[in-house]
Amino acid sequence: MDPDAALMLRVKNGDLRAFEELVQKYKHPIVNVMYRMLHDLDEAEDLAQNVFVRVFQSAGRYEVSAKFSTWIFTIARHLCLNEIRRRGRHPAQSLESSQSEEEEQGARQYPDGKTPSPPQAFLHRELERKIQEALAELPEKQRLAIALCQEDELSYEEIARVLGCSLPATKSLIHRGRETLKGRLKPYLRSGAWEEAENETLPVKRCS
Amino acid sequence: MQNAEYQKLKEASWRRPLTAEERARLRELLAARPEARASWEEDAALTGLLRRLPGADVSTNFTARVVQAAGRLPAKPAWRRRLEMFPWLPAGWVPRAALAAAMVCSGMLSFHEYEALHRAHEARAVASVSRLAALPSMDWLENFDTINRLNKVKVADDDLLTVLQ
Repeated sequence: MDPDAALMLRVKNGDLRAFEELVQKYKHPIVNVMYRMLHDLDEAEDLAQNVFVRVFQSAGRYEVSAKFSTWIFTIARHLCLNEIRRRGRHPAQSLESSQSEEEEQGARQYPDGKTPSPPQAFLHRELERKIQEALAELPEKQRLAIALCQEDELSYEEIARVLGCSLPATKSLIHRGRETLKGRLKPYLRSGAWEEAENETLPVKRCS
Repeated sequence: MQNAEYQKLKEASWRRPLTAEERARLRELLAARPEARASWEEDAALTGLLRRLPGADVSTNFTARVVQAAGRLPAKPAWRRRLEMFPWLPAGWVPRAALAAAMVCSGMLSFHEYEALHRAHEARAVASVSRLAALPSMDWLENFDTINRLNKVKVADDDLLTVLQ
């Protein structure tokens, strides 16, 4: 049996320890997907928390035949798209966005051992900002498909199930999204700036 | 390049680094179609960019917060727990069943109303017909036989006609 399914069976019986194990395992992929979709780390965490609470609440309905990762990412997709629609209906100015970009960048922290030199750090930030902007401009479904594609937990078939599309439609979504990204990021792809950033995967830190 | 194998390798590279075997096969494919090299390099550059995008840094107390929130959830009422014994029921079946029941009830009420209206209409029609076709009184039938016999006279009564003229 899928180990996650075994944990879910324990959660079904109210075992909080098993639930904790699941949260520990899936918190990074779920928060990552939320962050790619919403571009707000605090909101991504809040929504991810809601996803896990939903998982706990709906444990009774979980069928062992369904793969847990597909199930949890489907819940995440629903909550995320609901949030995007809610934002569309009630656009609100985030308190954090009132900070200037420089302030925000200054507040970000990187691990000491990997602190890049100022030009490199600038390049990282510039690249990251451009990619995030290009991703944010993609249609929701393409953005979600690309975000899910970056997660190791899911195969293409599982991504298709999460998105509620056929496998060819899912691959087409990813392909179209990537083509748009290539068009928008062309100068960076050609300049080889991406090579400079190699081996420098730094986590996003929240502003203090 | 519209080669199925090339496409497969490209899709694999979107998700993970290619194996040595796959890279060798890709080199062969690109050697045969050098015009596809630029497109491949651009695709690989984008994959590299996306892969190197920083992951979100989850708060250290995230797990504890989630478990605490789950632990605080109110206990489910007994009827909900009993319902969970039927996992084949689709999610959100209660509102759906309520809607279906409401639709059936309104359908039955409409049908009942229609039937009642129809019956009233029929009753009114029967009443009006019966008013029109009311039987004549018995006095009217006093000379019925005489009049009836008049119609049955086969030969013309010439004497009577002459007298009448």
